Amino acid sequence: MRVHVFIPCLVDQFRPSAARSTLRVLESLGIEVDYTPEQVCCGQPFFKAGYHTEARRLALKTLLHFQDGCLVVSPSGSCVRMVREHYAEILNRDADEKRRALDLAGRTYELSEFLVRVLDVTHLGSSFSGRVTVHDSCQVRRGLGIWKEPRALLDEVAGLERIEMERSDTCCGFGGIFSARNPEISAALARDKISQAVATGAEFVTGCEISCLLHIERHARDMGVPIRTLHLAEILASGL
Amino acid sequence: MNDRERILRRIRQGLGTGPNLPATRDSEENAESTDSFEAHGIPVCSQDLVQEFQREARLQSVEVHEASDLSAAAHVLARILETMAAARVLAWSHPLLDAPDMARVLQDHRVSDPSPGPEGAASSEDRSSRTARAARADVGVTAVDWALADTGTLVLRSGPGRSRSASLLPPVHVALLPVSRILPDLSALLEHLPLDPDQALKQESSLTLITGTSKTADIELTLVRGVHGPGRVHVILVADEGV
Amino acid sequence: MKPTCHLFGQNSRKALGDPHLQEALRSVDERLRTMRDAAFRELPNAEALREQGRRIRDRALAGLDVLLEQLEENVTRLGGTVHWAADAAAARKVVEDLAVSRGVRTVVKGKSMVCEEIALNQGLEARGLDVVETDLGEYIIQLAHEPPSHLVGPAIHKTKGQIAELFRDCLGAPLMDDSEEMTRFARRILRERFLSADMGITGANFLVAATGAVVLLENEGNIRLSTTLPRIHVAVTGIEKVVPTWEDLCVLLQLLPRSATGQKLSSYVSVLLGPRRANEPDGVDEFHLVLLDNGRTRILADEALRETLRCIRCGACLNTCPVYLKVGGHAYGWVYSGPIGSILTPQLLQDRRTASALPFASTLCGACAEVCPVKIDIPRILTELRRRYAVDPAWGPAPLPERAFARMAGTVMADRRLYEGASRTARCALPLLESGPPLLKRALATFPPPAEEPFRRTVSKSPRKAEDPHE
Repeated sequence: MRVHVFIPCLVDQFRPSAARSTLRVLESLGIEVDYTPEQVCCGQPFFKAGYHTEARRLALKTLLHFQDGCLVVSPSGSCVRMVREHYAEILNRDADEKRRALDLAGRTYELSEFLVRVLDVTHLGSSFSGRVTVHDSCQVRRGLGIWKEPRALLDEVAGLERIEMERSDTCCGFGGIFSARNPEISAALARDKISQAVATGAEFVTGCEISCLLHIERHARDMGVPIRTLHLAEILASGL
Repeated sequence: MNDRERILRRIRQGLGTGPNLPATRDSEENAESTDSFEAHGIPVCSQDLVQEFQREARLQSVEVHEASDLSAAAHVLARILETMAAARVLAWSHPLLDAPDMARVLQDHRVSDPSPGPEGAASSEDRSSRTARAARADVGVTAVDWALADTGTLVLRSGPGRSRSASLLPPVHVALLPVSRILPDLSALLEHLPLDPDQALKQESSLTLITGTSKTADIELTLVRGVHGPGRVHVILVADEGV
Repeated sequence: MKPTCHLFGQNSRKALGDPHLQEALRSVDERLRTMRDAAFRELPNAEALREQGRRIRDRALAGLDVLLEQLEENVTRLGGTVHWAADAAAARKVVEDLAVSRGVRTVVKGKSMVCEEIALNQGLEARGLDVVETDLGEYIIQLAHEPPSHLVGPAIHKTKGQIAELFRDCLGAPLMDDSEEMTRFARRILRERFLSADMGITGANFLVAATGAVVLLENEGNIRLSTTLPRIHVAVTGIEKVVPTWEDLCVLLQLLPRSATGQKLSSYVSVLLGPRRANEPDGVDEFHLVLLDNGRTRILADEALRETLRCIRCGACLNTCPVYLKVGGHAYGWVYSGPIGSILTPQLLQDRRTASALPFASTLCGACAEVCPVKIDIPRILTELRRRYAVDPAWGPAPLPERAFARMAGTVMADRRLYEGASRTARCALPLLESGPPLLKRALATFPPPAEEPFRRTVSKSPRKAEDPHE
């Protein structure tokens, strides 16, 4: 099987290890992985900031890069949601464009979803020693309905202890442009999330959306709290 | 063009039915689907109605008493009034309350139910003295038209001899509920409601659904009972309402 | 009420620093939100019920003109009078003229967001009328001269101590410590007002077109008193509150109390069918219904935003919104707050620009859409409003520097070489930028520093080997 891997800008710039891990995980299952450096951005930040023209332009590029009909897998839950939920909305100039958008939407997957629901795999042979808690990103849990899959995968990782936060699905406060326009509220929400994580005794916070994890990590540092964030892919690739 | 025309015009334009076209959307669009309430997710009560009503009412801090017949109910009422020293009662005129045993109990305590003068529409003077009289009552005693088992709700229609004030002004409300009047739930109440304008006109001006006591949580989300309406509600369930 | 939405940033900072407010909001989260969730879990099929709620509200909006005419005819047959008000001034005039012509001196009021929206109290007071709010929470904020901070509990931002001080300073009460005692005190004072009031003014939760019934929900009993004891009752409400039939009402009665406070049913549901009949011992002599537009028809005409009007004012979205639960209602700067306020205020205000901060007062987390009993897709509407504020001259557009930046950023992201160039430049310039203006430093500090090399530069290098994530 051959799939495209979509590595978005934030992962590319801020957590390339998550990208490398994604490739490693997929290749360990014998999947041929194709990475397209041409593909930079799904257009989500522009769409959510109100700049739909720019978003459309980037969405058209994405369509182009992945037009060969192969499955697209991404470690970025929010990008996957953008493709599945909004591409048909902004790529609707004509019936053909819309059809192609819906087609892409139908074959684009978030990593944990791809592993568990498409490949029916939860055991990868990973090993990771540490106490881990899952943050359910809004885009992933509410947006894509994905929250059992990351847990199923983590529970198969040797040496890993997974603990649940009291409310793992409360927004971490990033919200893209929200953190820039309302930084104090954004920080207050991050602090709440971090307090919850600390209360579980976890050393690591993980999830399927890097922007949340980066936001949490930054505020944990500001608070002097020794919690680190790891993308799900980074944990799954461990020990492979 | 007055505001009425202006607003209707804007609505029709906004919905794309044009300002000058007659509203053509007919009842077909508004027709109710024939699916059952259950299919629509509306809770439907199917348990023992009396038991369910008692359970739900008690959850709402309503004190529920059982009486085999009206005579027994009169005893219960007497007992309730005795525990409230010098109780002045504002009671409905109603066949159940006019029954001999009940009437005797109410006799000594009664504050006569506010009634309109012979011409019907009372002057404001009458209104305020009527209201003041009702406000002096310690207990309001009413019958109940229907009750809803799944929420412990009492349904009261206003009408001649059936003031709204009786279940509202005094701090205590006692309601006489024949068990035959207990319906499963809100959906079951529908068949008893005026379904068309003609029916509505013939009926009373108000229908009140009472579930539990008056309450508020406006101060720090702390529950307090008896804000403006009664803080204590007694329901006397009457098994056999034969007079 | 004069909008201060443009001060959202400032107001929210103030709110974050207010320990009493934060405590109150934690209470809202722990109580109201969890009670709503519990009530919905108990339902046999919550999703089906919400879907029915949505259908009923959409059907009402799709036939709004027909239903309003039907309602008017039926209310009139029952002996009531219907007034249509195109805007706030018209509505105020109807009520004021009515009060003056009927010799009204004292008014008792039930909680009504619409009346706040049109600033009714101020208008009546200017005409020399004595107006008292009778819902306990509204009474408290009336004494404090504050706007409501929540749809259902207008004074929940206040502590018991603050309320006690208010009662002492405004009513000459002794300083009390007990909520029950304070409530009893307010009950005594307000009882006197009920007994002597000439007119009761309320909103309306639902209007049933098929019979002309006006439906009001409450827990306290003040609405029943306001619609029973005075000689005149005036209900002021938005045109969107109409529903076709009793069956529709039945569904909405299942949804509203559960969504608002987790109750199966409010303490009192008043179904009013006109003024009292001649042979009834009490009830009002006159009933007036004021149907208010005030911008609602404009929303109705906007297909992309029309579902905003489905709202039944339950407040569930407020109770679940992470942003509302951090800053409270006043920060939103107008009558309607939280997620529904963020979409309604920009659409209702004459000067939309005042509300431009509101669609951005959200992380688009989607919690609101999950709990809305009539399934309003609030995040979708927020995104659409953001689009309008960014590029539509009828709403914004955003200032030129912002639009220029967006265009430039879009160009960079659309071109691999530009993006890679920017990536290299930014890394070189980072130390420089970090000693730049505070705003830039803040923006740069959003995340931990970028990785030494972006992924795309490493992928072609050595074969992928295991990396130790513990490093």
